[in-house]
Amino acid sequence: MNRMRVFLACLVCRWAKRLLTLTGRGGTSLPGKLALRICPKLLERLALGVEVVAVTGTNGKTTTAEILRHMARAQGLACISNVSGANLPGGIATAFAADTEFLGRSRKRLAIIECDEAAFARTAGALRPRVIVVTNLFRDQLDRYGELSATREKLRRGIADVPGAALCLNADCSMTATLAPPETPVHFFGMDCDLARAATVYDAMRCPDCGTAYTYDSRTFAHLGRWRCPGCGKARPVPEVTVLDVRPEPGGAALELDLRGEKRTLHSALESDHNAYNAAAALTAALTLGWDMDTVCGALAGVSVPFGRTETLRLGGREVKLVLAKNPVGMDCALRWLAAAPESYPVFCINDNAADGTDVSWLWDADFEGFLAAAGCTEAGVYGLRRGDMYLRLLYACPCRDGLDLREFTELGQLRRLIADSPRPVSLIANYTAMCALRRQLTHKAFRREVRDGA
Amino acid sequence: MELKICHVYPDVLNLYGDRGNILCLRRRLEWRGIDCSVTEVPLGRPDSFADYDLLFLGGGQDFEQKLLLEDLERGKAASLRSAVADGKTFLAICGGYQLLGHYYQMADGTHCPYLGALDLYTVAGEQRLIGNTACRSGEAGMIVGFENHAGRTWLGAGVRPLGAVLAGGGNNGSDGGEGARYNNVFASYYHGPLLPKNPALCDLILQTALAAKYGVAELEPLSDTAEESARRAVLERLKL
Repeated sequence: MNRMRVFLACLVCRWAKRLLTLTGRGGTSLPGKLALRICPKLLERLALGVEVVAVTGTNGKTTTAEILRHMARAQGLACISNVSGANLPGGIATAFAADTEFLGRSRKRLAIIECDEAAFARTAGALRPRVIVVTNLFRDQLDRYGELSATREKLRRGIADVPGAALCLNADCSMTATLAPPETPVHFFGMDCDLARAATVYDAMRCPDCGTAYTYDSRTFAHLGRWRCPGCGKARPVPEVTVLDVRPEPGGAALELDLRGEKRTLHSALESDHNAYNAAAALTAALTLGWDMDTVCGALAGVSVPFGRTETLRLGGREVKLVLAKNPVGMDCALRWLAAAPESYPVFCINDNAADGTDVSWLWDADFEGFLAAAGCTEAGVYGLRRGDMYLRLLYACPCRDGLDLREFTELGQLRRLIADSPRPVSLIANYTAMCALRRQLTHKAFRREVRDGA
Repeated sequence: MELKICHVYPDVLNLYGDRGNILCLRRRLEWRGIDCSVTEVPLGRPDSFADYDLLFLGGGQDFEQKLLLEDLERGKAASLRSAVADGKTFLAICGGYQLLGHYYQMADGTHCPYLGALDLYTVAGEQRLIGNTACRSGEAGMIVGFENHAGRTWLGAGVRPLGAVLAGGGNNGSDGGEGARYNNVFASYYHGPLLPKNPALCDLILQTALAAKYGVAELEPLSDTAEESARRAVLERLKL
């Protein structure tokens, strides 16, 4: 009976996916949802005998999973993966079921799966990962997840459900580093450099055990850094993989690393400082899996940027940068990237669909004041369902009421004309559904032609 | 003229973009050429609130509440209570709003004694009230925001609601009231943050604080077209 259900579920999933792909609808989550409806234990069954690496946390899941996939390929390993970032049970089931043999058995022996942090308590028990990577914890979509402590609790429960899993945790995030059950060995990663770019709002200023405010030897982003609690003496653990320095260089960044005591300088194809954390997370997981150090280090140079993460779209003769920013820390990273590209004209594209979180108040936790002061930015555009809120955010960031030349783009056509005609290259900073829609609409063949022909 | 603004517990009461309210108060003074200072009073710092003209309390997370209550008992509680009684102007949002009441009763029945500066109390509800919201206030017109709270707040006889619910749950999802008004205290469940999209309310709060300090206060009008358009987008969404 059970085998019959698995078979049927996989069959339906493969067909549904094929059908949706043919009709141009993507089909990343729905087929898996249908399959789970037919066989609720599908994930358990398909993950059996597969070595699963689960990547979860607030920011950097997609990028870390992409780096790991690239490293796996370099190792000659094929893997099941939810490439499109559909990281809820439906999307994960699609990835597994679409990759089965006719009788409903997984074809590959390795899976690199990005998991939504709030759904992790549900997915971890089913997938029984061999390795769990937690990138970090920041405030994100509070309307959906509730308070950050609730998300942390879900992660903790998910981890406790899989006692045999090897844990790769961000040592610099006090909320992540302390997730392991007592006496569990942990593979930590972290950054020793002082980026002195901490945002103004902190999610974890105090030790949850004794209430004392943390002190820092160095800091990177928001509450991340070499933290220490003067009250109870708890401190940032010593990482196995440490980023000692990040330097921008053509086509990405140079990372100076300490890999289990061995110093190496590597070229990473990913620009932006925050990607150093994603590289360190992936390296830690790869070493934990016993992959070859030289191979995975080399693979870092060839990673391509996952879609919408500081991605360059070539539209006709014009280059447009697309940068995903969906929570305060993500936006701060995007703003730092923008400040280093003063020639570009930024358009902030903000939606409030269910997948974005319907609460846009997080925009006010990002440091637009610091950005305007540092970047000397004098003009910007807004677009998306909540462009009104975004407009206000920029207006109030500026000490002088008319200090910024703000343009509201109410429809896609206006944005297209801007991209085609603007003397400055355009950068689109967008939250999740805005990014997905823009990417789809802008890379549409007809539009690429339009830009090229100057229409 | 100058207003001294105090952000009470910015380290624990800072959820959901609440610092946008401070920024809004500050900018709407600066844009009119009125001086202002913002002082942050975090946990552990002893302070009297008598020197400030406008006090802000934001929303917080449950797990930090114990720390906050211990800190209040070390002197800040009495000082905050007298500030309310003396007619200081307050803006309190969500957790900060609840804090001004008598107590919060948690889901497991635990009773957390709060400041008791306002005659109101809060009981944890089962479902969180989440979503875009609007209410109508006699003083500040239509107010829009975003609510996200499990607590159900009930007002005593001496406290009026800030507005009448037009959309969303408001104080408790049943009595049709949203927020609270008492003396010069303005309290609300609305994040969003509250003030940028409600410039009339922001100006009313500023005027109240200026009038308490200088007797009279006339604020030069600002154009507010961007504010109006962002408000309208929310109202249209709510079909109001």
